Amino acid sequence: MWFSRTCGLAVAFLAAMALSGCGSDDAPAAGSNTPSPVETASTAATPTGPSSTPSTQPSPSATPTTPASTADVAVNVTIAGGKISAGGHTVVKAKRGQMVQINGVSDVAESLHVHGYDKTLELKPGKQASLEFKADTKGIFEVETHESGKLVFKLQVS
Amino acid sequence: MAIVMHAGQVAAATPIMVPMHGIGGRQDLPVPLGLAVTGAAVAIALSFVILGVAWRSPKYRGAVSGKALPGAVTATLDSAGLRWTVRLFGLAVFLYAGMALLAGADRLTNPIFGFVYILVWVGLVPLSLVLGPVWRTLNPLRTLHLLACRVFRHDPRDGLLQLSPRAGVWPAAVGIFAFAWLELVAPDRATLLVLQTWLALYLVYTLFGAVLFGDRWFSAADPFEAYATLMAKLSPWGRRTDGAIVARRPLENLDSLKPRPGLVGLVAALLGSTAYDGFSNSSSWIAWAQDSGYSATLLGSLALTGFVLFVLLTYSSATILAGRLSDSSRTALPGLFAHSVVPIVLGYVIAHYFTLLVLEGQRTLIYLSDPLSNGWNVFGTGLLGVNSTITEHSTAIATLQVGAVVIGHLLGVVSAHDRAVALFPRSRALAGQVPLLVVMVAYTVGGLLLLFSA
Repeated sequence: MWFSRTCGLAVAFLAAMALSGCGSDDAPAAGSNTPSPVETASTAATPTGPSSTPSTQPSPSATPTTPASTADVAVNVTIAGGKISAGGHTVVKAKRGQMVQINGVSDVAESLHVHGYDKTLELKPGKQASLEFKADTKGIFEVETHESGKLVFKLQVS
Repeated sequence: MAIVMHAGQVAAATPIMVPMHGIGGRQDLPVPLGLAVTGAAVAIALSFVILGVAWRSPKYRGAVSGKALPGAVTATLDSAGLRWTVRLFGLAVFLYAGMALLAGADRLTNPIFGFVYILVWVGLVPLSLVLGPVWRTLNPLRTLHLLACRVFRHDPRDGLLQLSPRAGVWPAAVGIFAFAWLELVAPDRATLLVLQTWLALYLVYTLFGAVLFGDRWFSAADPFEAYATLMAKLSPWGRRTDGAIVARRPLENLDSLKPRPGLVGLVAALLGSTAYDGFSNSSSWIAWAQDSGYSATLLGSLALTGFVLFVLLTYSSATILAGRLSDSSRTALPGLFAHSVVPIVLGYVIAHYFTLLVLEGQRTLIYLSDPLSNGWNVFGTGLLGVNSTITEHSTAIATLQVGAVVIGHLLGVVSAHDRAVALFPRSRALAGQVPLLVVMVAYTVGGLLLLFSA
């Protein structure tokens, strides 16, 4: 009987593992080659080569709210009332070499950090800001809030 | 692993981000579903083939086996000169890292984080696989204890108390759990204060124990040494019962692992924590945990404990059931089969940490040139960049990950089979192997699921 109970536990654990696996995989991607509907209008304007945009653009504070963008993948992050949303995405997929744009707006001072790429997007209360960079390394990279240390989404570059 | 290091420029003076979770600045891509399913199918099918067609009499002879190395090689390896050179090297590395720990800057360019979490904890695995049981000699705390004993003209084997034989390696299993908690759960684990506190406790635990119980405490309680010793059993190098240093097949070497109390706890802590590392990186767990309202530390501690207990319970009940099915001793069986989990641990470790070791290992070697963040370039590596070409080969990485889990599983099955035919009566040997095989298949499918879900 003791054994059957541990068996039950085992099944429950494996089920939990399986669920977590499917969960993250279900997450929709914000456009890999083609822009997805949730993207902002400004994103997919020019399908020119990504290399035409300088990849070193670390200070978004100088960027106006409607940047002339050549991004292939864009994700909109909103932080309001302590809730963080990346347009419903937990995983955002991009192909290596694509330009990724992160647009953020927050009701408190925050900053978003892209691990691995080591990019930071400073957000001032109520002001939209954006960050654009070239996804040139394959892997999964966490994008987190600096102040509250929460996961915003994972950037999956394949 | 618990610590994020940035793949950007080496000397970047960006504000330091303390990661709240996650294996590192970069995680491997999920393995393709087809590859994971193929791996699982191969693992299951070959397991039953091994069970059905493999040898019926034990093949491995453990500690009495092996081909002795030439006398001159053994003499050199056992010479006091070489031993002391290795000991002093270990001590020098320890003191150098200690400088970064005590006087370095509290930021991720301090090499101490990569030194402890990557070079030591992950690096001891390939080191032990290639060179065998060298950690005992490298272990700086052993050397400090030995030197102190020399000064006081005291026999290092003698302590104030006798360590109960029932303690076995339980103290090391506790140490491994404590380290896993530090690297995977502890709040602010990539800050100097937390690492200093943990290492201070480790130092006291290990050295105080050595004073109490003599130097056998190191093999019983030092988590790094216990882990390295376990992995060295998969190297081709061992010592025969007659004292000769020998070369032997890795699985035969593994067969020489002495069952001791706590060995099951040790392998469960290693396998469970590695699985938890993969699980805690899944975005659904992170999303659930951070929106649950409970503290991340509490949830992480519970989940880590759950994974380790899960391995402990499933493994123990499978081996106890095996004893019942084969009319053998039940209480001794978990310990007698524990060695067969070691290859499974190795498979998990390779799958989870291979690219991390390659990328963050390089970065740590670069940072090590400037231990105090004041512009030194001690080893001339300070201005090098991390070569991240490996990240481009995502198919090769995925194949390696799945291959490591599957091969680790098969080596585990073979080891357990050989032990089973040695222990069980011939008529019951087949039935007796089924419970453990089922559990091993579950570990492997679980491991592949973790790689697939990433």
